[in-house]
Amino acid sequence: MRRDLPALLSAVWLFIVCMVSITAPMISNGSPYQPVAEPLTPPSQHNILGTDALGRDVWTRMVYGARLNPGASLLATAITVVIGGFSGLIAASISGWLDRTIMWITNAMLAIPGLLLAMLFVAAMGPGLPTVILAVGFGGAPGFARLARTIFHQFRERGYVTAAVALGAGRSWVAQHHILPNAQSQLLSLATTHFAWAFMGTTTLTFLGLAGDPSIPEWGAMLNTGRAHLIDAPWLALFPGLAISLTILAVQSLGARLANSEDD
Amino acid sequence: MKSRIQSLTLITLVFSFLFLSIAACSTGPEEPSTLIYGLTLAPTGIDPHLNASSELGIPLHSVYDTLVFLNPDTGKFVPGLADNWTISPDGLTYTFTLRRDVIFHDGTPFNAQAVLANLDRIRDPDNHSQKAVFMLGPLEEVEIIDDYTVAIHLSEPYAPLLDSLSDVYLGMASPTAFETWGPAEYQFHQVGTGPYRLVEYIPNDRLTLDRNPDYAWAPSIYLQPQADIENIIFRFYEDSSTRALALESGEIDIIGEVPPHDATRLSVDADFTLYPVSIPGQPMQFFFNTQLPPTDDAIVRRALIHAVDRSYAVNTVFGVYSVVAHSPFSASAFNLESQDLILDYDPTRAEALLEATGWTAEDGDGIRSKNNIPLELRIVSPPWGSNSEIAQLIRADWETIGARVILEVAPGFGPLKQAQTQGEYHAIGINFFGTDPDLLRSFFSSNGLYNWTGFADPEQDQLLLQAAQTSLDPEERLRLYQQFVSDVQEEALLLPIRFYVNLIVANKRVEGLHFSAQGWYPILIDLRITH
Repeated sequence: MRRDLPALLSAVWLFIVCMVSITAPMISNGSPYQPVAEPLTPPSQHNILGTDALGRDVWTRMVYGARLNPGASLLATAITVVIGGFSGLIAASISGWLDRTIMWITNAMLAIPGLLLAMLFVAAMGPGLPTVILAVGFGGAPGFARLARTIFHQFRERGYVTAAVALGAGRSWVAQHHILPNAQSQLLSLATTHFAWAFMGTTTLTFLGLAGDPSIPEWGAMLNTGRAHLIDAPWLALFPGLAISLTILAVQSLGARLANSEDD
Repeated sequence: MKSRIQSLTLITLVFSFLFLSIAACSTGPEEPSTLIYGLTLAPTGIDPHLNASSELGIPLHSVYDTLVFLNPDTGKFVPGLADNWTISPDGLTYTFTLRRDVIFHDGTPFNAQAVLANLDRIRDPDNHSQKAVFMLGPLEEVEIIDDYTVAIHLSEPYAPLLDSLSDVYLGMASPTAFETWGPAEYQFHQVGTGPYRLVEYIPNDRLTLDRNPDYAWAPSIYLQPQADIENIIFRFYEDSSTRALALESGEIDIIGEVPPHDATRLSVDADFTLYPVSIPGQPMQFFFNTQLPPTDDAIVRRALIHAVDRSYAVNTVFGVYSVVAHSPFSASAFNLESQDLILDYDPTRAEALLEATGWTAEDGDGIRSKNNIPLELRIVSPPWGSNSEIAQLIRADWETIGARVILEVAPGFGPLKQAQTQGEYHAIGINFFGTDPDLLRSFFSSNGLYNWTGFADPEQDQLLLQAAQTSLDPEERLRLYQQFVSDVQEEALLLPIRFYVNLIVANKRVEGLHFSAQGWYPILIDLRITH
């Protein structure tokens, strides 16, 4: 049980984030775009997390951010898993020149850090949240493809795969019926760990102002605008910073727990 | 034993006192005085004839002299390198009589030949001047009448000429220096006639000036005949959040463009003085696109202006240092802030105007629509200044009156221009600085380079052209611009926010800080350091 405490706390935090994002319009203090009080009001009864430099309620913006950040990272992860997983599967099940080509491309792309790849993508496509999601999704794909290929490879060596091949099963049939179903749980824990990376990636890009719209109630962007007021209004950077750290920590430790449970 | 330690301590103390007093003496008036000035932008090029940055003038305004100077208080031109000048009755010829006692920092004498060489350098198409050549307008020929008399001939009257000649971009450089170094290298070896000499320029690191001991031709806008401070070193602080810290740590003595919240903090600090300086030119503003519905309708544009609480926005973003702007231009000699047609914050009126033009909110989603088209507005904001903060508040106000608003911040001038060319915007921000209202011609003429409103009216074109050509009667010229401003307000072509106020903070040991008419450039010759 003690071993599970971090995982339990992580699950609780993620549950809170989920609930907050679902009930956002009910528990917030109006629109995240509208000024509601004096700019830079410290946390008080009316504005429990204070107001930002333009007089908007920080709590409201945090609550709406709970929808944007995890949602964006989830989409980015999905893109990574589909692209990376698919190319990893192809590489693992069809060895030979195709495997070598895919891995050659992957290795070449891995030479550039994923986040830099994502930034290049945004630079080419122009700023905006959809671009950020695509960028992080594509940026994570090479690393994911490599790891997925390793996972698939383990199963390719198993006896039942050899048996199926001996019985005349084709590569795609083997991939669909033996490799993919068996690799599922490992892929899931890989995807969970990757979600933490994607979360970090999207918030980093929005922190750098690549979301395009500066009024977007998004934690990374809020952290960035709070940076200018570290001395006179520390709560502006504190709350989004905390939310980002806690979420990444929670997802990481859940991912680790998931990986451990497979070993048990 | 104990007494030995005591006497040792005593001796040490005596010696340290001696050393300290010697050290204190050596920082007396004998030591050459040095001032560190923080710049806020590292320009890509600092050759005033060729480059366009406003930042370059902060050091170089004191390296160069100009033919005339603009008095910031009266808005009148005063003699500089030219003793006096005459304008021909047709406004086509300006004849300048030059001072005879001026020499460049490298010993080259200043004369009519030098003026011709400077203007030729600026006009040389191979040099690709980004700003100075445009400031010369319809210049046709420069004629040397004698060694100290030069005539500038224009192909058509051009009232802004004296204003251009008073700016650092048309500062007089030593022909010996720019012919020796060529257009690419000259920026590192600039030679003028001003009260300071350029010693060294290392891009992104430092720019050093030292005092010109031979300076004896100070214009009347300078209070001292010679500079006081020996050396002035300029350093770069591009990140606005580091500027106040650099002042407080004593790294620099003066810096501009301090963020309002830092400026407020430092203004009550006994060690610092805040100098808010108004910069003439256009206000921060958002142009309405008159080519794209619904902002093609002047009534909708008026409604959108009424909807924005500009006092709140200006107060929130710029603190107490700025007031709301109502006109498209301001400078000391051209007060165009008309009171007749101010569109104040009045959301009720805004909603009534929208109702009257058929934009109603009947389907209950809170978004107004007309003929089933929702009231959707797209704002494109530049990334610099505080444009994006203001744009966020405009967005909030427009949403309040029932519009759906998309806000996009273009990450630089290139993307901003690209968004403008694509035309998919209802409001777009851009503003330039300058002391002459002819600046407005490129923004409001039908074929102007910056006609981002898309508004085209032959009468307005004619009015702006006529104002540009009224060289001899400043009062008539002012009247024409006042007429123009009320036309623009009638058409509600733009949402002006505030005129730029540069928040400069200096530590208390700096005295005598004042600025040229262009607002950006400090008059370095008058600076003093108190001990």
